[in-house]
Amino acid sequence: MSESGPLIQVRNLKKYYPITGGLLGRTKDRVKAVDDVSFDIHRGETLGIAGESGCGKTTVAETIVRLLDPTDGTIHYDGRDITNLKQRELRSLRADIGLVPQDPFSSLNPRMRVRDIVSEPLDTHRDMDSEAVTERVAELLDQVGLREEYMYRYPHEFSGGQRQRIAIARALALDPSFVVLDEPTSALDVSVQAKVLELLEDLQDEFDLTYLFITHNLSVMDYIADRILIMYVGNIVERGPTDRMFADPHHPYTEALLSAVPRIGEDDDPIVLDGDVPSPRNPPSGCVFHTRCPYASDACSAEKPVLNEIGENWESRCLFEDPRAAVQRRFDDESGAEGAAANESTSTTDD
Amino acid sequence: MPDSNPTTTATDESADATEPPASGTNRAEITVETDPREERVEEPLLEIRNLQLEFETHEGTVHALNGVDLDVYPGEIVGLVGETGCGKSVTARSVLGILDDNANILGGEITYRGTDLLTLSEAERRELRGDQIAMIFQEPMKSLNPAFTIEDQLTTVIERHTDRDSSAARARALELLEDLGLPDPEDVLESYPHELSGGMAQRVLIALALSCEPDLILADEPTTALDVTIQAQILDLLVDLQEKYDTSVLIITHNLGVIDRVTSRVNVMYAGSVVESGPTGRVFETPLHPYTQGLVEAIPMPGRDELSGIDGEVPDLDDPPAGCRYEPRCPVSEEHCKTYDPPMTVVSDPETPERREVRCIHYEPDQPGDPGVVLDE
Repeated sequence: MSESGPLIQVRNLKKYYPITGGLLGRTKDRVKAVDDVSFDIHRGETLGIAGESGCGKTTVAETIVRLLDPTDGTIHYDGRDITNLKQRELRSLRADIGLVPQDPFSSLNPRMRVRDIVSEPLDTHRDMDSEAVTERVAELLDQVGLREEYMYRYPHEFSGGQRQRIAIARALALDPSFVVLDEPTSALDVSVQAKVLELLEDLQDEFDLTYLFITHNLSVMDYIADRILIMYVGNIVERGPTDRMFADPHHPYTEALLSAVPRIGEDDDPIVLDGDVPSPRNPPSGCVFHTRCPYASDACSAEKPVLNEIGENWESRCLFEDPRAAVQRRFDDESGAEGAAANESTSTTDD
Repeated sequence: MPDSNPTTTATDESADATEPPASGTNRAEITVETDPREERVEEPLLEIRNLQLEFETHEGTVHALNGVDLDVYPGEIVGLVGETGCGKSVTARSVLGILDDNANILGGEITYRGTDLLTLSEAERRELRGDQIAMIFQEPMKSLNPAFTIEDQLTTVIERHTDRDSSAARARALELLEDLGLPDPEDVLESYPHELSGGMAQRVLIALALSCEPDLILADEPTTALDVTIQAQILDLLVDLQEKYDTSVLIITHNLGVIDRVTSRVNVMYAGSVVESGPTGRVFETPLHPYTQGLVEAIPMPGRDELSGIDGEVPDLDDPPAGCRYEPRCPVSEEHCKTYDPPMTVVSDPETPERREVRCIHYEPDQPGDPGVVLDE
C-alpha cells in the first residue's frame, strides 16, 4: 500500500458502446457514455458524481472498479495500474472495494437469510469457519445498527431502510478501503434517508473509508460529498469542492441543476431549461450543453471548451470566464437595455 | 354534515383554557377560536370527511385509511404529502373509484359538488371520471398503451367524453399538445409511446387528463420518475395550465420541495390519516405536528450539517397502534396518546388568515401538553 497520492487516479477515461447493425453486424455508430473523463479520488474523502439520467455517472463508477472494461484511458488504484487487469488479478482488488447498490428491494436475494447475504463475500475471499463467520456477521450488523438476531431472517421481513443497512453491512464485510455507493438512498423515504446518511458518515469516520457517492439528488450531495463532479452527456462540466461550488456555481448547467431542485422555504423562481437532455449517441457539437444553455453563443456550438481552472481545486468546462454574470443579465429585467453594452463575449442571446 | 366532521372547533371558554400552561420553555402561543378569522366563502369542490378504508389480504386486514379529511377548493393547487404507504394514492383512487377489489370503504364521505360519490353507481362514477375528474399517474411510460399511437389514445378519449367527431378530435388533440409545449405536435401525434422521452410522455399524459377539461385533476407523483430539469419544466407547466384551464389540482407526492414550489395549501399524511393541513409556506416554516416537524428536519438542506431523521419505522397497518398512529415514534408523546386517537383541531396562526389544522393531542383545547412550537414570536 502506498500511502501517498490519491487512492484512485482516472485519466482520459472513455467508455463507448458500439451500435451494430446490418447483415455483417458492423459497427454503425457509438454511444459515448463516458467521453474523456479525468479525476482523482483522495484517501478518506467522499467524492460525489451528480447528473441526470444517462449522463454517464454510473458507467464511470462501474468502469473504475472494472465491472466494465474501459474503451480508452487509464485507471490507477492505490498507485497500481488496474486498467488492463485480468479477471483473476481483479480478485484481490475486489476485496478492497465495497459496493452498495441502489435498490434494496431487488439487490438482496429473497431466498437467502441475512447471515448468508452478508457473509457471501467472506466465503469468496476468506477462509473462515462457520463460527467465525457468524461472529463477523454479528459484528457487522451491530455496526450498521441492526440487531444480531436479524441474521436468521429473510430480506422480506425488513423495511427499505433496514434492507439498505444489510446491503451496507455486506459491502463492509471484507474491510474495504473504498466503497462505491450508487444512489444508496434514492429508494428510501426522506426520514429514513436521513438515518442512512448519518450511518454512512459514522462508518466513514470509524473505518477510514473513501466513498464514491453517485446520486441525482443534489441536496443529498450537498450533505455528504466533500468534492463533486457534475456530469452532462458523458462529460464532466464542473468539478470542485461541494460547499463553494453549490454556493456559487460556475457552469450554467450546474446553476440550472441546483436551481431546478425544489426546496422548501425557497422564494426564487427556478431557472427552467428548455428541451430534453441530448442523447449520448449523437452529442451536440462544441459544448455539450450549448443546446439548452440559456445564453449560448455561436462559439459554443463550434468550440469544445476545456476544463478551466476557476478557483482552487475548482474547474468548469465553459468558454466564458463569467457565465453567471451573463445569466444574471439575462434574468434581470434590465437585460434588454444592458445586454449589448455589458457583453464582452457575445454570450447573451436575448430573444 | 356536522356529525361526521371530526374537526373540533373549540368554544370560547376553552379558548381561554388553551393559554399554554406556565411551566416549560418554548411554549406555543396558540389559540383555538370558534371561527378561523377568514373562513373561505367558497364551498370546496371536493370534500373528503373521515374516510376509512381497509384491504383484505392473505396476511389479514390492513387498516389503510384511518379517517382522512381533505378539501380541494375551486381553482387551487393543493398538496397531499407523505411517505411510502401512508395512504395518499389510495385516497386519490377512492375519489376516482378505481380501488382494487380487496378494498372496503368502511365509512366517511367523498363529496364532489355536493354529491357523495360513495353513493353513486359504477356507471355514474364512470361518467365523472375523465369528464370531471381526471388522474395523472406516476410513471408516464407505463400509463400509455405501447401498442397505439398518441393520436389514437388522445382522440379516443376526446371522442368519448365530448361530442367532437374524429377530425375535430384530432384538431383538439393538436391544440392540447401545443398547449403542453411539445415542439412538434404533429410528429408527437404519430408517435408511439416508446418514441417519446420521459418528459414528453408526461406531457402527453397531462394532455390526456386535460382533454375533457375536467374540474379536478389528481396528479399522483407526476414528476417523480423525471430528471430534475425536466421536473422543473413539468411543474411550471402544471401551474400555467391550472390557470389557463381554471381547474383544481390535487398533487400527491413524497417530495416536500415539489409541494412547496407549486401548492398554496398542503395536507400532510401519516399512516392513514391527514395529520396536518394549512397554507404550504406556514406549514413548512412552523410545522405543528411532531411528524411534520420530523419530516422537515430530515431533509438535507444547504447549511444543514446534521440530519435528525425520525426514529423507528412506519407502523404495520395490519396491526396499527390503538391511539395516535404516530405515538410509537413521537418524541413528545404522552401516556394518553397510546390509547387516544385525536381528531383534527383548528389552530389559529397569527401569521396567516388561512385555516390551519392539526391532529395532535397537544393542540386540543381540553388536553394538556406542549407542542413545542412558537407561532407568535
